[in-house]
Amino acid sequence: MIAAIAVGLVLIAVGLYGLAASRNMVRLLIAVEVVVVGALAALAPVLSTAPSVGLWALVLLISMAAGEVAIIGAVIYRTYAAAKTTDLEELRSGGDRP
Amino acid sequence: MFLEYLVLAVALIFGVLAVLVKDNAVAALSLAFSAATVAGYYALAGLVVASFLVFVVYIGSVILMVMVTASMYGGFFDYPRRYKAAVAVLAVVAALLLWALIPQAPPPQVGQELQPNFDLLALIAALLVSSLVVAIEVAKRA
Repeated sequence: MIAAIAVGLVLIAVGLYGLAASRNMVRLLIAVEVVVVGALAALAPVLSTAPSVGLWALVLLISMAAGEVAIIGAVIYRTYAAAKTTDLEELRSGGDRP
Repeated sequence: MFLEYLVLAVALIFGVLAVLVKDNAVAALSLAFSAATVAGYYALAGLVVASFLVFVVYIGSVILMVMVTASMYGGFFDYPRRYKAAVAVLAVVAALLLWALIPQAPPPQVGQELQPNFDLLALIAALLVSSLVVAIEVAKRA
């Protein structure tokens, strides 16, 4: 179970690195989901020791993940429809329009 | 014990690949494998409800939308048919290997307090999927 926590923390760190290093909105979305997967892995010991608490934490985590994917996905679709790109550098160099 | 470490190592490798590879579609596929491996770890530990939640709700709605988004803007539909077939075959082989390698676990112990939550989980799954669909439709029409 310690290994699950360690793997979860490493995945969270890797996802945060991806958030900092990516310049594409789709890659940012994927990096956020890597953080969520890391949190899922780190939550396994809680589910073993306190199933009810762990289950509700899991429900909360997945609900948050679905919400952020809905929002970021909608932003990506609108941005691509307006600017035909999802690259943040291109968007920034393109002026005020998204 | 060794199998648990192996599953966690696979989840870690696919998670790192999801961030490091250049292609959006491959990154989303690696992310899906990583999430599926974590769900497999839950199943291996006998956490049936949590495994169901991650497999059906998280992978079935959230990861699926991430994969669709990454495929739309990652050029996956323009790839050669051989590449798409190879990816599909690889996914099927990995699933079959996992199915064959995971030993027959004893019957999972589902506590009485967790039994009524299956209805709630199905409700949450429907809610999440509908929210994703609404988000896409609003984004298309706004």
